[in-house]
Amino acid sequence: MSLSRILPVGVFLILVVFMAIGLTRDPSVIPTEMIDREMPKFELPELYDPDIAVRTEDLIGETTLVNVFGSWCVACLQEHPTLMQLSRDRTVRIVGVNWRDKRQDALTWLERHGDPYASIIFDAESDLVIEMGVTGAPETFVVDPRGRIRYKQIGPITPDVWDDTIRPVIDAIVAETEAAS
Amino acid sequence: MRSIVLSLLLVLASTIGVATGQTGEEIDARVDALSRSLSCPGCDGTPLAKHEFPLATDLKTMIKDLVEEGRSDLEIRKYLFDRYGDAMALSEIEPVSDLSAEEIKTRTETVSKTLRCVVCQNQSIYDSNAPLAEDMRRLVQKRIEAGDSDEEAREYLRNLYGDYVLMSPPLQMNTILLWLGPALLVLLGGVWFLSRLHAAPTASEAALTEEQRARVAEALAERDRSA
Repeated sequence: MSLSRILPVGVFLILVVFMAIGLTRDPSVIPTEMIDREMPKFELPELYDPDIAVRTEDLIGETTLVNVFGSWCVACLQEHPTLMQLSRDRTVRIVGVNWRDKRQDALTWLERHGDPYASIIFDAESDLVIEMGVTGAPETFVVDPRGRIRYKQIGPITPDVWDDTIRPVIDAIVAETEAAS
Repeated sequence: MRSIVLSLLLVLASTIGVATGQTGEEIDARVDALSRSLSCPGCDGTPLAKHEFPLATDLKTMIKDLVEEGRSDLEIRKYLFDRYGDAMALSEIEPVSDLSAEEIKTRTETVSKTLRCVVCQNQSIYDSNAPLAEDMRRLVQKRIEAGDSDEEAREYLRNLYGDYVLMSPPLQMNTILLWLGPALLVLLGGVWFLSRLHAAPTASEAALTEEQRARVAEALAERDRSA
């Protein structure tokens, strides 16, 4: 077979390979830049009591899940039972970031569905959310006791996500802390 | 005697600094920032930082004390608003830099047009109505007001969201095919076309073999006869 016959087929095959790779990628998922970075500095009011300020330092000292949610966020309801379970079992401290919400709406939502959070940061104007590179809710960050972001979960935490991805990250942090002490 | 009192005061001051973990510069910077973002009774809504009359200096000292005690900015603001009410509010936001409002607006626009909205990814944050895009625009404006160059403001967001947030991808190793691909294709096409052009004459010469010519001649002769 002559080269001119093989060439178009070859070009076609190369295109197929590139497009096949392209199809396996989800363009709506933006890879996070935040892994292994410090939690950004912030100071924002608490949801229940706006007079109390929550600061970066409040997150340090304990492994924490920082969970971005809002009463407007439908997918947040999907992960809510998992968070409630984690909170009942006292598995890990969960701090909420109530994002672009109205205070009253958030309070009603928590009353209806339960409150798994140790503390809730009220971020009405995306101040903290942008600093953390968040693109949508729900998103959850695993922050180690030194205040370093170790993992980011985009989308709801289902029991499978918890068992397969987040739990191992937390176990690794625990092992690390024990080795260091 | 006086020197003992002075040195005692110095020791006291330094222990306060250590207790809250702030250096003198940090404290001054926070006091400065706070007194720019607050007004005062008698300041008519202008920043407290601009005034030197007795109450104004007292308020500044009070802010400094609170900062040294380790209170947060939010607590200090609340503390002052509780005591002086709306008199502490600025009548308009005082820009930190000396840029004009018009300049800030146009530069925010220019930068916003080059940043991708992370919610609706085919729009810039300038075009998008998404609430997050709105907040990102405000952040760009804040950066510019704080004295960032356009490039620095862009870098700030790129640092948070990665290359994805830039509307036009930067020329770097993982985008080199994207940038050079079209030129490469044109080049390859050109080479292919030229090589075909040179090959063409030989192909047309061989279009008919002797035998085919003979058959054509015969067919023509046949038609002439039957006409």
